[in-house]
Amino acid sequence: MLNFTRRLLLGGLSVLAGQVALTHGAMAQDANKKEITLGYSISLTGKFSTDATDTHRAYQLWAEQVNKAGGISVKGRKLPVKLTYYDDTSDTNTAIRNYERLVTRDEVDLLLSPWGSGLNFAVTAANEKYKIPMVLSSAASDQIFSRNLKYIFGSTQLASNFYESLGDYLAANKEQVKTVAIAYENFLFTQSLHDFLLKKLASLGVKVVVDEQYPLGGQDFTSLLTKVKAASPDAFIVIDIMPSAVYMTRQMGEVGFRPKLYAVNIGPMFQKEFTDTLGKSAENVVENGFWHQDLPYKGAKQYYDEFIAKYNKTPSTDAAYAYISTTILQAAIEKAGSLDREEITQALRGGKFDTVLGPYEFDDRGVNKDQLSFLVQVQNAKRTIVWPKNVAESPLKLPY
Amino acid sequence: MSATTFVQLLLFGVVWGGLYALIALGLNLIFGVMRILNIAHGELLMLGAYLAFWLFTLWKVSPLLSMPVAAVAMCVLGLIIQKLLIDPLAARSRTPAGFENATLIVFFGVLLILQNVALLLWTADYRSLSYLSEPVRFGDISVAANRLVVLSVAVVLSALMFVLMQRTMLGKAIRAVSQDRDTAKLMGIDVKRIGMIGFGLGSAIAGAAGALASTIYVITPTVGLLFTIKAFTIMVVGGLGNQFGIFIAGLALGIMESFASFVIGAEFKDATGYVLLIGFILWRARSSQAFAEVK
Repeated sequence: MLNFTRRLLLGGLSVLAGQVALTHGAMAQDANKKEITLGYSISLTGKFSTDATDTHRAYQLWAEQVNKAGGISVKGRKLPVKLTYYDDTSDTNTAIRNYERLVTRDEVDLLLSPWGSGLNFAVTAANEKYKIPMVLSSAASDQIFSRNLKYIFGSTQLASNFYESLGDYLAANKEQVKTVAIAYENFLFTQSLHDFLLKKLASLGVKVVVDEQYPLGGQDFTSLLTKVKAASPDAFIVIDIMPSAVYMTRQMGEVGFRPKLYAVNIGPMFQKEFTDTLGKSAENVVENGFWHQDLPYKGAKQYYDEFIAKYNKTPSTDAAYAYISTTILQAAIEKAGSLDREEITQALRGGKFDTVLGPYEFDDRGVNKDQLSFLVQVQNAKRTIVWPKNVAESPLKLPY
Repeated sequence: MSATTFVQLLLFGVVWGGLYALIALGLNLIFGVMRILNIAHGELLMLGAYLAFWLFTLWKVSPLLSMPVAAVAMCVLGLIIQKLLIDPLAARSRTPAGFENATLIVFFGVLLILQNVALLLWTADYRSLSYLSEPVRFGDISVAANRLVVLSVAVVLSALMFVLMQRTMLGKAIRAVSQDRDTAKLMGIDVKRIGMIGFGLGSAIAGAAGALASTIYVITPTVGLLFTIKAFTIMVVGGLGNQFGIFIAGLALGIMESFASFVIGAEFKDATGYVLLIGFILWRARSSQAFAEVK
């Protein structure tokens, strides 16, 4: 009997001792930290590489800037950041594996997001599993945020919001545009956009004469465009991700189709890949506004210039959103004053953040409460804000 | 559908069809003389396309000039594959059927290796070049000049192949070997040499077709298999060994794809070939020459 009590006591004591050691260990770990390690998976090759490489560039530029300034301050100590990344070749399963590897083998402190709604949708399961907060840099599909996940936040506007601006424009110009043809890419983000656009057009009473889905990464649009041309719509709206808009625009010239209004989802923001490649055919192409350096927000122009200085190309809005998510994460770490993942999550949830796209404040889903929707247009080979009127640099020009 | 739309779709279809036909003719030649299904045929096309792409991007070489270069390069590569892999296999196989099965596996290996080498060297990025992409207009019909170039070259090369096979002694020998190896041997034809020529010529055509395709399509390391599958479909429908039948089947597939993407939807373009193949099998299940040969 005595023996049993003694054993119980000893056992209890050893458990207690172990716990003390553990807690102490965690605290000591924080204090001994020499750097903050951040990991991410990114599509440097494959069908998403045009878009995703800019996300990667933005992460690298941010890390360089932070380290130049001495690092992120955690309780008065400045810790430099170290980025670890793996290419996922635009493949979902590889991306999932990469995040598992980053968390379990590389044991990074925090995670940055991959590119695109599809990959983000898949990999965010790991955030919940390991309870690691992540500010997603290009996850616009509403479905990602409707799953009641607790550790994800988004820096992009949502799909449901993107076509608000084009809708407003069409409502104000009903005489000009009465019929619309739509082509959309087979991809989570673009399908979400398509659903919301159809609702918007139905509420406006604009007639949709052609509505076609095309394969992800599609390249041959000759038949599709022949069909669209035959329906002769006033406006042609292409809901794409890069690079299909390049081939679409080129082949529009080939079949001789010039609608009054030609709007793409993503295109002119890739100055080199879209506007420079297409030359004259890029003129007057309208694009969904994601971000623009001329918007009146602190640091926007500066970021634009710094990106050009480092990479000798203009930043796409993917690059801007990626930069926004890293600056928000940085602010949250500083506010939490700790690398504890729960504390950083709390800081993200309750905080207000100033970014190159204005103030951010997250709702329960992790979505920014106030999202700006606007339109840009290529005018004289320059990406120009054209709608809504209160931020426009120049009026929207018709015809395409 | 208006007449303009119809002609426009027909034109785009014929361009693709001509290219498909050319690729299938090369594959058919190899099957005829060697009795092997080269499933890595499209990989040679892919390499030819990359060659044209890099020559154009780095030194502004016109893809039309790159075409003979690609043809020679792929011919050499084809012969190396034949010498290194197929010859030893033929020497050690006990039965013709065993040889055929073994080559299928070997070519699958070649396919994987070539794809992955291309992936390592040039990444999975989509590459495209802009050559003669200005449209040419005929009334309401308009088409990029490069498509017309592709169509003309494909037709000319196919015609040359036809003349070679039907009108020359070499062509006669190739046809003889395709029809009956043993009898051809008895007639004094060097079957092995004809096999080499056939394989080299087929590979060269794949390279040339790749250079052509680079002007109107996007190049990736995995682009080859798509064309191989189409070529197989065309060979079965057109009839193995039947050059004219293959040419017509190629055009038909291109035209069907063009109209299918218009009528059904852009997503169904590549499904058209399978529909054609299955429909054809159901229609002519036993009488087709293709199945007599395959059996």
